[in-house]
Amino acid sequence: MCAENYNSKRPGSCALKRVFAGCGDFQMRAVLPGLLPGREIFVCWLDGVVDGTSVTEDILRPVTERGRTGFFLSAARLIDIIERGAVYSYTVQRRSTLQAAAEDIVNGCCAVVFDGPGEALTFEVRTKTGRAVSEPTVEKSIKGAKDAFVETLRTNTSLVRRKLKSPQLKLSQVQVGRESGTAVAVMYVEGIARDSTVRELLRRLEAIDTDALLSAGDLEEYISDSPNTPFPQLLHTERADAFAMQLLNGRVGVIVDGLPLGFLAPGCLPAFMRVPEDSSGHFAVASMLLFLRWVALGLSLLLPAAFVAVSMYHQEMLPTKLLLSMTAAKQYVPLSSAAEVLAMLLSFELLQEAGLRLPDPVGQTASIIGALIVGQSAVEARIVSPIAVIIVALAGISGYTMPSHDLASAIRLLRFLFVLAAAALGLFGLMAALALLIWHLASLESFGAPYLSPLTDADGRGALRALLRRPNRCNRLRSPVIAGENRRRRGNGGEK
Amino acid sequence: MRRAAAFLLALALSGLSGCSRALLGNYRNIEELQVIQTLGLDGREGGVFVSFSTGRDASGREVVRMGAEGESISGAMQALQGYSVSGELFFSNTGYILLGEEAARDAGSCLDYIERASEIRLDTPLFVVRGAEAGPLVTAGGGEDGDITEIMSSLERFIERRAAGYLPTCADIARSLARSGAALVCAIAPARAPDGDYLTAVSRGYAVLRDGELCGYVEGDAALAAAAFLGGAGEKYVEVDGMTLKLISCGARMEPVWDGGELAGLEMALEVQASVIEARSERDLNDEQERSALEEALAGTAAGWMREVLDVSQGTGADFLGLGAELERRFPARWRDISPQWDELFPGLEIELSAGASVLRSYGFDSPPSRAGEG
Repeated sequence: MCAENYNSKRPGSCALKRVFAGCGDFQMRAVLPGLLPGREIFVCWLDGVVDGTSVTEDILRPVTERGRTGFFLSAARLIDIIERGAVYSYTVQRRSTLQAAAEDIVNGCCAVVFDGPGEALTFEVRTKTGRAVSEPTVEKSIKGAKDAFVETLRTNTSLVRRKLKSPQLKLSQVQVGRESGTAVAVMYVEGIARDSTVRELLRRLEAIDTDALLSAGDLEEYISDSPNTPFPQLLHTERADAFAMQLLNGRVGVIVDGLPLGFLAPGCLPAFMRVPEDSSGHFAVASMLLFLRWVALGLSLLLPAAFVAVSMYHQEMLPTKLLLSMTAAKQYVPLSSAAEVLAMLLSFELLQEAGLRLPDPVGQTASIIGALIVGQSAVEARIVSPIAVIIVALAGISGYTMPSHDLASAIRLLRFLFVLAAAALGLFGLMAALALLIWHLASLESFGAPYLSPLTDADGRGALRALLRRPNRCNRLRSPVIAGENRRRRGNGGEK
Repeated sequence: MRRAAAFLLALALSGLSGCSRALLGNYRNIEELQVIQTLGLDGREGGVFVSFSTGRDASGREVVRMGAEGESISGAMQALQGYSVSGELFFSNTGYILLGEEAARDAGSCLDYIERASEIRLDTPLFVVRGAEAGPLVTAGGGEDGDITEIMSSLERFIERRAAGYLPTCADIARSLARSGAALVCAIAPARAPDGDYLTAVSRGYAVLRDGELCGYVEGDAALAAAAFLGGAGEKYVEVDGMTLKLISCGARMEPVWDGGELAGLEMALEVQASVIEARSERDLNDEQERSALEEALAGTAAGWMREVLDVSQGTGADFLGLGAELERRFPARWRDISPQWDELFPGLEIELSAGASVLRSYGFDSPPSRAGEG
C-alpha cells in the first residue's frame, strides 16, 4: 500500500489512483449506472485478490443494467439504492474516507467510487482460491477429525464454528500490521473463558505495532508474557477439533490470517505435553503415553548431563558391570566425556538442521549418511565412545516425543547448558541447573495462569492431573486457573 | 534483566571463593580407572598386607592383581597406587573384601577402616579366609584364565541360593557387633580346583567375631540354622534317611521363659519345610507313617544343627544370633534389668530346643516309580 497520508481524505477516483500508483494489479473501470450518459462512477479492485466473475456478475452487471438504478437520480440517491440492494453482493460498506476504501480494496473488496459526494461503496468479492481444507500434516489424527486449519482466516473460523455450534462462541477481530494489515480473530466461549484473559489478549493484539504479522513467532513474541524465555507460552495446533477442545477448557484462541495454525492462551507446561489423540484413546493407554512423554522430557533434558556428571565425577554411582562396560568403551577415546557428548549433541543438531533445510529425499539421504559418519564411523575411529552415541541418540529420540516443537527446541537449547553445568560441577552442577530451571519455570505466568499449573495447584492433586489423563466421567470441572465462571463440564458427572 | 545481571555477578564472584577450586578441578576420566573388585586384607608382623584384583572388562584389558605392605591399610593402599601403571585405583566398586585369618583376629580395626573409608561401600560382602591368608587367593585365585572376582561371584550366588543363605555385608557385621558385640562372617577356604591346577575358594560356614575378634567357626549344615535365625536359610540339599531333600524354608523363633521377673531360659523353635529331590531308598510317602518318620528325622537333624550353633554361641560367649537384642526389642523394660549381667548370663542360659519339619512336595515319590504297578 502507498505510504501517502490519506487518513482524512475522501475517496475519489483520482485519490485512489494516487494511492495505488505503481500497483500493477490495481484496476479501475469507469462505468455508467444504467448505461445513462453523464454520470460516471468508478469500479476499483485489485486483480487476483478478487473474484473476476463476482465483480462482473454481482457488481458491474446490476450497476450497468438499464432501468435498475432509475433515471436522473442524484448521486446520494444512487448510492443509497446501490447500498440497499441494487447490487447483489452479500456485504456492503459505505466508506467516506480514502483510507477505509483503500483498506477494503486490499482486503479483497471491490469499491464503487462516487467522485461527486466523495464516497465509496465496497463489496466483498474476495477470490475463493486458496488451499483446501486437508488432513493435518504434523498432528496426525488416527481416530480424530481430519480437517486441519488452512491459511484463510474465514475458513479456519468456520471450521471452529462447525465444531462448536453455539452462539456463546464469540469472535472478535482485529487488524495487525501497518503494512500487512493481517486480520487476527480472537475466539472464545463466553462464560467458559475468563473475561480478563480475553480482554488482555485483545489489548496485547491491539498494542502490536509492527510492519507485518507474517509468522507465528512474531505473534508469540508480541503477546507472550515473557518473550525472553525459550519456553513456549502459547499453545498452537493445526487441528480444528483440538482448538475447539481447548476453547472448552477455557482457553482463548487466536487465528491469524495467513497462518494454518490456531493459537491458544494461556499455555502452561503440562498442556504442551498433551496431544489431541490423548482424548481419542482409552484413558489408561493415554495416561501411559502421557507419562512416557514426561519421562522422555526428563531423559531428553537430563540424560546427557547425567552421563557427563556420573562418568566424570561420580563413577561410584554406577553398578560395577556398567562401570566396567563404560570403562572398556572409553578406552583409547581421546575426548573427555563432556567433550564427546557436546560434540555429539552438536553433530546431532547439525544433522537435524541439514535434514530440515534440504528437500525431503535429499534430507533423508543426508540424515542416513550423517548418522553413519557421525555415529558408526566416529565410534569405529574411536573418536567417541559407543555409549556417548547411545546417550545422545536416546536423548534426541526422547526429544522427538515432545508434542510441541517449541518445547522440544527449548529442551534442545537447555541440554547444552545442563551438560556444561554437569561438566563443571558434576551432579551438584546438574542439580543447581535443574533448581534454576524449576525456579525459572515457577516464575513464569501466561495470561495470569502459573506456567506449571496444574502441577502447582493448591489442591495437591495437580500432579495427578498433569501426569495422567483422567476418565471423562471424573473430569467434571475445568481448571480453576484457566476457565472462567462456568467451570462445570457436565451436570451429574456424566454417569450413565 | 536486573535479576539475570545479579545472578551472573554472583556467579562471577563465586570464582573468588574456595568453591572455584572444585570447578573442573577434581574430575576423573572414567577410562583411566582401575576398578578394584576384590580386596584382600592380611595381618602381618607390624603392619598390613593389602592385595587387590581388578575386574575383567570387555576391552580385553588384563586383570591387574597386586599386593603391597604398609603400616596401616591406608599406607598399603597408597603404596599400591604408586605401583599402579595403568590408571587410578578405584575402590568404590569393590565387590568382595577378604580377610585373612590373621587379619580376622583383629577384624575390628579392619571394619573400622571400612566404615570410615568413603570409597568403600558398606554393602560389600565380607569373607574370612579360614586358616590362610587372603593375599595368595586374591593375587593367584583363578589362575591365568580366571580371577578371584569370578570365583567370589559364583561363590556368592552359591551361598545365597544353595548353601547357608545368609551373606552378611560389612554393614550387617558392623551393626551386629554394635548391637550384640558379636557377628557372623562368611568363611571360605582356599582349595585347588579339581579340574585344573589353579587356586579357588570353597564355602566353609561362618566365622564368629566377638568384640571384633575372631573366636570360632560355625561349620557344615549348622550354618543353616544360624542363617535361619538371622535372615533365612538357602535352598540347600540335605541328606536324611537315604533321601535328598531340598530346603524350601527354614525359620527360627525364640521365646523367653520368665521366672517371676527373671529370665529363666529360652525356648527356641526351628521350623523346616522341604521337598524330596532324590531317593536312594524306596519309601511310599503316601503312607502317613513313612512320611511322618521322614519329617521327624528331618526335624531331628534340624534340631542338631541348632544345638550345634547354640553350643558355639554359648561356648564362645558370642551372642551372634542377637538373642539379647531380640529380648531388648520385645521386652525393653525387663531388658534394662538383664543387660548388665547378660554377658555372664548368656553362656549358662538354659535353652530348650524344638524343631518341626514338613515335607511339602515329593515330585512323584509319593508313589515311587518301581511301585507304580502294584496298585
